Amino acid sequence: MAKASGQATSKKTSKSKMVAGNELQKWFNENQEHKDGRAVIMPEGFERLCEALEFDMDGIEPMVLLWQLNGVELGTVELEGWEKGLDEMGVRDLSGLKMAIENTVEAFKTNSELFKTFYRKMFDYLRQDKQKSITAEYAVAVLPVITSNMWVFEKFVEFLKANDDKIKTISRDQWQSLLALSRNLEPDMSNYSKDDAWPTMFDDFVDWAKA
Amino acid sequence: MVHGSMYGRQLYTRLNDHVSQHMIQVAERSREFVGDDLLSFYNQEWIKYGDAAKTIHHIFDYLNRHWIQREQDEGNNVCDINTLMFRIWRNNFFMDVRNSLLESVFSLMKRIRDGQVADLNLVKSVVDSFVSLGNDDMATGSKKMEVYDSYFLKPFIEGSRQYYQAESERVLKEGSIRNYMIWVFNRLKEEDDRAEMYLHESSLREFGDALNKVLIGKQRSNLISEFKPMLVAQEKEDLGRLYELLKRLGETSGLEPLREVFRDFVKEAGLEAVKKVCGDKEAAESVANRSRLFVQALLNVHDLYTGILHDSFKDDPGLSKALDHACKSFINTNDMCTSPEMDAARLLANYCDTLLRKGNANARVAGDAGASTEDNLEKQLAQVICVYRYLNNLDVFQLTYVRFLARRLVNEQSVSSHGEETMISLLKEVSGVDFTYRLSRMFSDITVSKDMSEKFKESMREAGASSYEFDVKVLNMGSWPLKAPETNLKLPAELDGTIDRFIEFYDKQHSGRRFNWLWQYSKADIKMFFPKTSGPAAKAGYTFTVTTYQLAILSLFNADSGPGTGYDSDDGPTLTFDQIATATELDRSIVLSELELFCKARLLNSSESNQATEAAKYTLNSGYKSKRLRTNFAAAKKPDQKKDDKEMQKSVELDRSANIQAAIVRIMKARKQLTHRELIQATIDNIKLFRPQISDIKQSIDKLIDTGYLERDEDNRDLYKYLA
Repeated sequence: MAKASGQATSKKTSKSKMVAGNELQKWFNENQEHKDGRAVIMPEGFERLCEALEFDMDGIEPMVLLWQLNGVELGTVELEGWEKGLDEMGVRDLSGLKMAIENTVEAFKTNSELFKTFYRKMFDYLRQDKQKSITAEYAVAVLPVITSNMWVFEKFVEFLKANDDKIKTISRDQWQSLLALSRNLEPDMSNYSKDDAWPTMFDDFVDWAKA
Repeated sequence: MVHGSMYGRQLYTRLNDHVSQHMIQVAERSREFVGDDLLSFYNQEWIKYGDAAKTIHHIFDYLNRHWIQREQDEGNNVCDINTLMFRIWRNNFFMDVRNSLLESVFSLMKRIRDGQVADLNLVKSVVDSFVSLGNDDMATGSKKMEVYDSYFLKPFIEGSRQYYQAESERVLKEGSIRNYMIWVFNRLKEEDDRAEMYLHESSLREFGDALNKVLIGKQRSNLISEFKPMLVAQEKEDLGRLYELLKRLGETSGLEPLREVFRDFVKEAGLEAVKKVCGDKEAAESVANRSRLFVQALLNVHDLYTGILHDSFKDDPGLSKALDHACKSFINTNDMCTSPEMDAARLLANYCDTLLRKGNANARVAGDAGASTEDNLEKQLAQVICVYRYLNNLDVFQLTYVRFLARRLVNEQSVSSHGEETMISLLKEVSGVDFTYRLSRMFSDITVSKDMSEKFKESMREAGASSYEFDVKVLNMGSWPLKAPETNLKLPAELDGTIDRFIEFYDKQHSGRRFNWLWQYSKADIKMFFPKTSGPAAKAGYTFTVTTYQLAILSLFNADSGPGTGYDSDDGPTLTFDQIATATELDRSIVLSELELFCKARLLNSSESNQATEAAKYTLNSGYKSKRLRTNFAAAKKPDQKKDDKEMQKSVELDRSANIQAAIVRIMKARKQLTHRELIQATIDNIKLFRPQISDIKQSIDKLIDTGYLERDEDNRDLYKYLA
């Protein structure tokens, strides 16, 4: 550990040299698998990484980690994305990575554009087999994790649960509009208008919530 | 030249002095006259003076052209002789006499207005002289009628106003507002006619407006409040007068209030008429009655007020719009139309079907006495179109109409092909060929099939293969609102062979086409002989019209074709429910309902106290007896109305969703990007057949985003973009 952090603070000489020696590169090499001729971290490896970083698998951090490392799908990171992500974060060891992810989660509170980018990307991670929409089931599982303490999302998840016989999927437009809704809606929903550009599902949602 | 200039001035001055002197004398003489005499005197002098002025002007032609011209060029206040003459007249006579003149004109006019005889020409000449006197400084320009305007018109209008102010108060005190209306109406007409005779045309309007203001404007709200009672009592003449009077106040302050009252009144009348039908006993009896009485109620209200619009309001565009607005409202939204099944479009299509279907003569509205049936039908169909124009849900009418038409054609129930054609050409006129194209194809299928059936019958005769008449209708699947049967059917053997022959026959002409046999719409006439029947039926047999399903069941009971037990009993075979179901391959629910019908008609006997159950055994009632030799069992099977309605509703919704999506794609393809509200509005404007709900449009937008035709702008979620 001491060696790694020493390297992290040393001046960048050449990229390949620096990467070759760093703790995270070593970690990748030890945990990588090969898929279609590419070096990748698969879900089991990703889970080990989260354990090493002391991230709760049910928290938001693993999602942010996946996003920051340019994960290709849930729990799956390719070498290229891994290197690009680490480079952008400017981290070289596990403790630096942990701090960077935790800082990002913290930054969500004030940087709404940053959160929006993350939130939109989540839709892609939740799609199965590149389908156009995600299952309502996934949305119900993931939304509370990534949007804690946001009442519109809480209410919406309740709505999905109460209507799980009717609403089976969430489209990309609904997913993205939901974030906009959460930022616009007054607590008593009095400012919601069915004449506005909301997906019809939200009409039902507001009717349900008001009832 | 100095010399000439001096004489010129002398000449000019002396002429001025001389004529002025003369005019002072005329003015003096005029003081001897008052009233009409003054007017006569003034007119005589005016004519004489005019002639003299003209002559003098010519005599002084040289002066006009030289000295006067030069003086004017130098900017001195000198005018040509003609003008000078009028200036002298005005300054030395007119200004002196004008007040007396005006008084005389007023007194003469008052006599005329009060109904006495007086010479209006006297007024006219005086007024003409006022016009000729132009303005004070005799210059041309915008104020060239100043003398007329300020010395005559203004005081005259004010005088007239005062006269009518007093008169209108008197008339109102003496009689009702209705009388007042008649009085004003006549008075204004007289004034209009007279004004044209003596006033300068440029002031007709100003004068008229002043009278309108005092006679109508002051009573405006009183007059408007008479409107509704007149409508209630249908007083066409009074309504006409009221309209004419208020029209004089202009569109905004005169007619607009009438429009509102008219619209609300007609709407209320329509709602009331429909409400009456809702409580009508006859209407409750059947759908046919209900739709007929409903449509009749709509037409009565529409025709009544269209008549008033025409007779009393001269088809005024604003009031006509108000009537349309009212009709559209009460025709679509009322106490009757409270569910999709009772939509005005459905009821109208229903009524139209009763008109065009055979055997509904008594359901039809009584036509004009003496008119031919055909003329009456044409008139009634035109009435259908009249209501059709007001429908919100044209698509529902069209869908329903197609279904009814299909039924009429398949069952050969059209009252006449002329009637059908009339209706289609009327629909084409209003809605274009998009809708009627499909209907025309249905007709041509029927015509072609008729031909085909004839040829097939001939070929059967030639082959010596025909033992019964066989008619087929070959219908294009895309044009007809008919569905494949929901049950299997094993045809009776006799029929099976003929079907095969027909397919072979048809295939020779149009190979490669596939047939879906719609047995549920097919019928057969059969003759049955019962061993124990006596009387004429024993010899002639009974003739039954049956559906194909009924035929399949009944033919199992033929003495020589029964597949089951008890083959040689007198009553023919005895069959269990299961045997019947298996042999016909029909759905058990259908078998049961047909057996119920036959047991009830005593055509079959059931082993379970004549009840049709799945456990019973069935035999033919060999002693069947009926007063009628002919019975229609096919007609006893009514189609399932509820199920039909549900299917209708479903297909309406599907059609609408497709229509809305197509409209949105068309709009976005042309406009590339639109805000949410713009797109909603454009879609509403684009769809003519029905009024799309905003939620339905939103749903279509959702779908088009999902399917990649549209996308929401990244930064402005209110904006949609078209994705090619």
